[in-house]
Amino acid sequence: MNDILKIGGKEITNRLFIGTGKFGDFGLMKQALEAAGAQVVTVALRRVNLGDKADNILEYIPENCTIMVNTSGARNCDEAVRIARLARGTDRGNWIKLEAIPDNKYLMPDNEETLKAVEILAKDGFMVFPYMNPDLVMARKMRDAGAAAIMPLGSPIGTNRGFRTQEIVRLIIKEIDLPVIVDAGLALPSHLAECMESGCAAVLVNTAIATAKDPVTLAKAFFLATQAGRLAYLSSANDVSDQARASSPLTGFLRQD
Amino acid sequence: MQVKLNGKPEDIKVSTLAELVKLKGFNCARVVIEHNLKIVSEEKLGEIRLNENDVIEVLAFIGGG
Repeated sequence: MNDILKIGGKEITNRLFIGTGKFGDFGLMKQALEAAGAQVVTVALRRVNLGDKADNILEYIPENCTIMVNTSGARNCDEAVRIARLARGTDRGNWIKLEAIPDNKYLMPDNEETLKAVEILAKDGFMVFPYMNPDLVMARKMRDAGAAAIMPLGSPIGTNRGFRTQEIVRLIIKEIDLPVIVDAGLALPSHLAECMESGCAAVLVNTAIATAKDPVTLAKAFFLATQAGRLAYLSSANDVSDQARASSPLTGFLRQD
Repeated sequence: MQVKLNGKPEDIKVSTLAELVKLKGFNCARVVIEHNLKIVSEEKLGEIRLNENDVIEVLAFIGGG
């Protein structure tokens, strides 16, 4: 099946996007990215410590991958825009996973500040992927402001609680003509499959893979689950019913009347 | 003079941003440098003369989700 995701001016066939934080080492991260066949990978920008001889993470990301730079650490629009522009200064940073998070306890994004940053960055030529608390009206505004996709959270970052926002995300998928990528809180293959079955264009996972006992095997499992969910979405026509519907004929030799 | 480098005050004796970057051993191929909130490309580092209280940020990619 030729199932291509056209997004941010690119064509993607692997709908599992992977974050690169929290891996024990870059070698392991590289193996996990390769096992999942990753095509879109997120990174962050941070101050370089003086005397820091750490490896360059980009050397461990397969060459065919598109880099999406997040604005993590930004608490508002201005900080997010500043980080995005710095990212572009590296010439790898035109795809921005836009985060504006003022809340340290639940890491909830500020949708208003995020929307302001979408407007600025989209006008400035960035491909903007806003991370948002799912809200249909706000998703519509972000689309109108020039977002390349909508990235609603599945549950709070790093919580491994799965696709808890499904009901609202389903509406966003139905109503917004942009790819919807569920990000955050996804920790099991079943979570990913659920997102994809609902019609999400892609999913983004970081913590669950990076902190797994065996990140390489789990990355592969996540890839398969993403694919399975996607294929089910494309091929299934099953609706939900209150009443039972027999899958075998109920008439037969047991009843003579 | 004193400048602020990555959030910390630094007493320096060099006069350009290029000299500071060289002195501190930053690898220009993998960092992005901001001087007083403006991004400076590698080839322009030598043109930036440093002044008292300048703010310099040197950033690089790390893992992130």
